[in-house]
Amino acid sequence: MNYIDFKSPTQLDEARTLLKELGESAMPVAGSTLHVFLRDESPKVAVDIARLGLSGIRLVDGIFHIGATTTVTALHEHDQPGWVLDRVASEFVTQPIRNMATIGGSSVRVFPWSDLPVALLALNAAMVITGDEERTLDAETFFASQPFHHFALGDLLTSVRVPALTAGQGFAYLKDRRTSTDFSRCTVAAWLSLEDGKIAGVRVAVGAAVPMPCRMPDVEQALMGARPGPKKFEEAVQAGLDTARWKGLHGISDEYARHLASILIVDVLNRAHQEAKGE
Amino acid sequence: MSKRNFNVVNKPLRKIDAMSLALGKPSYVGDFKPADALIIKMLTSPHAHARITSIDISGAETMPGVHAVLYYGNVPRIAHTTAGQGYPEPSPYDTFMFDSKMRFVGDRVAAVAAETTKIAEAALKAIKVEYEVLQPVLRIQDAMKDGAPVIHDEPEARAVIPVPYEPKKNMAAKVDMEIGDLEKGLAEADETIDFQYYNHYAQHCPIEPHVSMAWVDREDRIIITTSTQVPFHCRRIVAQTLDIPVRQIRVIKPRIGGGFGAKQEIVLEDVVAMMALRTKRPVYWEYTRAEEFISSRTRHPMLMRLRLGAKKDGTITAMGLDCTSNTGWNGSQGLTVVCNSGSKMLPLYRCDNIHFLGMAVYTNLPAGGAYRGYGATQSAFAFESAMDELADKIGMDPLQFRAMNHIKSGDTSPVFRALGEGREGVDQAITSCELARCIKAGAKEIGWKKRKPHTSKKGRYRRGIGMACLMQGSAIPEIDMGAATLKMNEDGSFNLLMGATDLGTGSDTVLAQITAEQLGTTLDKIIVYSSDTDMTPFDVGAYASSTTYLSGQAVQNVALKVSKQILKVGADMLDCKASELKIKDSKVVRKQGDGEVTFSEIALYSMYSANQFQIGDISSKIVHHSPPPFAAHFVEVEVDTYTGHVRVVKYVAAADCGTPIHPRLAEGQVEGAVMNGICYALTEEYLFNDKGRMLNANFGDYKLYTLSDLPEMKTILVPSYEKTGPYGAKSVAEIGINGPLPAIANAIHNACGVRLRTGPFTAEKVWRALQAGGEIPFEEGH
Repeated sequence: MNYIDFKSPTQLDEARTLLKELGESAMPVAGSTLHVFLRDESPKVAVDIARLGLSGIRLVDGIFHIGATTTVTALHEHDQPGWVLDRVASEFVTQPIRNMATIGGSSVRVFPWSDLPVALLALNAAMVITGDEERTLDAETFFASQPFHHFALGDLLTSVRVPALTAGQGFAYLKDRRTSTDFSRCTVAAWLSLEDGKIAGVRVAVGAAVPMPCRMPDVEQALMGARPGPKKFEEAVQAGLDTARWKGLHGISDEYARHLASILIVDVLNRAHQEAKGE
Repeated sequence: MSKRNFNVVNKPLRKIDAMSLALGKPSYVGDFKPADALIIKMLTSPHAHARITSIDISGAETMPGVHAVLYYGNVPRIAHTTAGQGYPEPSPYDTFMFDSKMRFVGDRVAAVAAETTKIAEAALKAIKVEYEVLQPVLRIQDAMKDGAPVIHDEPEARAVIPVPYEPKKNMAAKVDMEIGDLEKGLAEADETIDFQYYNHYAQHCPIEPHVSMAWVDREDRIIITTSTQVPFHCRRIVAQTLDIPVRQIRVIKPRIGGGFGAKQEIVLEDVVAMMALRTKRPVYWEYTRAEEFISSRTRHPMLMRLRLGAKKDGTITAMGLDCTSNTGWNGSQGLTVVCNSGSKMLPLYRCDNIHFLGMAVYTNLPAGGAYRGYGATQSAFAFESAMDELADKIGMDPLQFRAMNHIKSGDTSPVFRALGEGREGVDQAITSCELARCIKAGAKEIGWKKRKPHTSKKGRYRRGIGMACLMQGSAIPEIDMGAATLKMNEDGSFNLLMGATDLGTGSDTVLAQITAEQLGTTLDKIIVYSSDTDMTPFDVGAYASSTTYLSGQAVQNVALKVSKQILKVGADMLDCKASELKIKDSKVVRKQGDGEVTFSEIALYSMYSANQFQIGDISSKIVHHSPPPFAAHFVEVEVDTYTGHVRVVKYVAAADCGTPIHPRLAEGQVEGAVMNGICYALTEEYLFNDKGRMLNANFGDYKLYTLSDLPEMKTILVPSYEKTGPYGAKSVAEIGINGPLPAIANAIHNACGVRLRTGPFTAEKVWRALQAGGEIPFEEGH
């Protein structure tokens, strides 16, 4: 990135006005940890949005409201019944990067290996965008393509809302990598709810081994209403894998990426099931 | 002196440069960059094999802020080697400062020196080049085919010592040796094995990449400050390449941020020197990380065939090792690395029938060079994997099989004489070997007794234990030379001036410890300066595990000479014979106990009072032996049989390095080398496209372990006393990297029955082998 100036607004409206005025030359920045991956060399004005009061985590009516500039370290350290994003944050690269990276930044610019979108898809998060009017998109819509398509000039992602896990529900998240600092080669997350011993709700999401993080609808479909268990999970995964386009990263083949996903999805479903059962 | 009665040696004292490094004081080349230094940037070839048909540098030359542009049309064309080795070098002369032929993606096209990095980069873009693209050679097996494209077709390419060299066949080096009769030995065996193995590319990944700067002083001498392991070889090779006298060049080596062999090469210094001459301005060139991966040096990939035979009772009857290395676009260190593949592993086990064939072939890929382990890493993988496979065939425990066959104190091996580094070797008997104790200690620590065959293991996650035995060398006998100068100051301190090169290993501290021990003083009295070709005596530099053993003897010798002078002056002052005196605690004292003078008093007397002279001397040393350090490595791994993922649970390295002069630094060398080797075994690999372009030349994609990946590690120093070494010391720096690849391969096999003969052991490779019932077809990799 080629920054030529730095602006540091302290109010949301001020920031949005600046972004509108600067137009294409503006670059909203918070943690800035993803900028190393951006190849845009045109002159940019950095607009710091980390001082707008957009950080923090609140539980409101069973929904966690997470400010967009909440750092991954804050996600990691938060401790409250129903909170699960600490499981994702603990696997997020290294501590120095966790200290800087934000949930918003990690959501609005998506790479194949991005961690948080996979979890947010599985958790059916709501993404709150503040523009001239505030609007909310569900995670599946938000991550259907690069999220910047949803933003008009001056729009900012201001909050991410994640339902707290309740009794009878489970969540699990896994990623495969060569070292602790590696990009993920396959990221999976599963959310599952049980009623009368059957699956009443399930969401499975995958990343890294596919071009963009996505849900696995055929796997979910095969599980709805079924009695959960390792064998059922394996059957469902095998039946539903072909809906995704598997893509190997970092030297692995597409075939192995698909295989890896099949193993990890079963793993997260098993773990989520265990949790839903209260084990 | 008794080996148990040391005052300074064998103590974990504070490293002499620890505080300045910890405080971030200016230490490295980059810290001394002049504010007005011009920045050098290099335009490199986008093609693996091509000829430049036209080049126009005018757009760059006329750009404001650009001071010089170098390319093949305006520099001397002098064939040389970039290998920092003794003269005449065993590596072929096949490299030019610039050439019109491109031999790899990353080859030098033209260099620019400009006021800023931005201007230099813009100037590179203004250089117009047209190429005739040639068919690249990207595999060892392709390079050796009849009619393969010839990579070095220039008439100047030649070997400068009498060794086989056939560039028209892409053959950069060849050595062939037989002791006894391999075929007879194989026929006598009850069981034989015949397998191929392949070692892959890897880079040294020093934290500080290659970096050099140069300026021309008022006497028109070129002063080069550079991150090098070989300052004297650097001076010689730069003088040769620029066609100027050696006396016109001074090379200064400040602290080095890691080398591991990569900086035993002259990869920047010729260009910075030429740029300084052309511009008369200070110039500075630092490799980017991508350049470090591509245009620096690598571990030679190696294709190996190993044939072993043994009787049912465990007697090894035959060892046949064929090694063909991919030396890349130039032949740097090609001959000597492949020689080491034989000479550092074949003597490890007793056998009467041995055949070794070593070759190095050119390809259009990054060049191999010196890298910690230096050929032994490659052959240790083949040998120590095969020892497990053969033990399995004859029904012996692999530990017992090794224990009954390995070389021991008093033994010799005909390989020592038959295989040197580019020439015949030197006869030697093993005078210190505690490998048996290493095996015993390591086996106990890993829990070898609990090891079960893989056939008894079930479940998704399966654990296995593997081991490997290793040997290396300590300096190159009758080739390497080290020297040191020592002089005494008024306060009883000493300046120790050495050509030996501390590349981050702590060797300055180790050599100062040896000096202080010999002088009878303390470490804080030794002021070390290394290395500077104007100021310090010659030393070949830091390579071949030579510094402690070879340079250590040089400093011990000079300290001995100086201590004799101190006693002589002390005798004058105390009015007695020197033989009546001894040195103790920085003083000369009468053995009878009735008089003493301090070192400071002696220095002041010798400088100012009577018969004045400078107490000081110089000493140089060559060695006639290369006593091997030995090691036994053990590892426990856990294999996820669903994904193929391999996790190192625990690693044990038991090493015999003679007397560890600084035990903590020695442990650090072992642990660093083991981590280096674990990454090599599991995560490091070069990915190329089908045109020879490296695809993962950055730390994001080329993965190294960090401390958070560190498995449980245990280092056991098993001391021996090497009587030819300084205070019983041998080397320790290289050997540790040779163990992880074979030990982990053996542990994976013990865990799940998968035998991998091609590195690295990626999860996908393990998974595919599991799918295939334990093995995948052998394939030459990268």
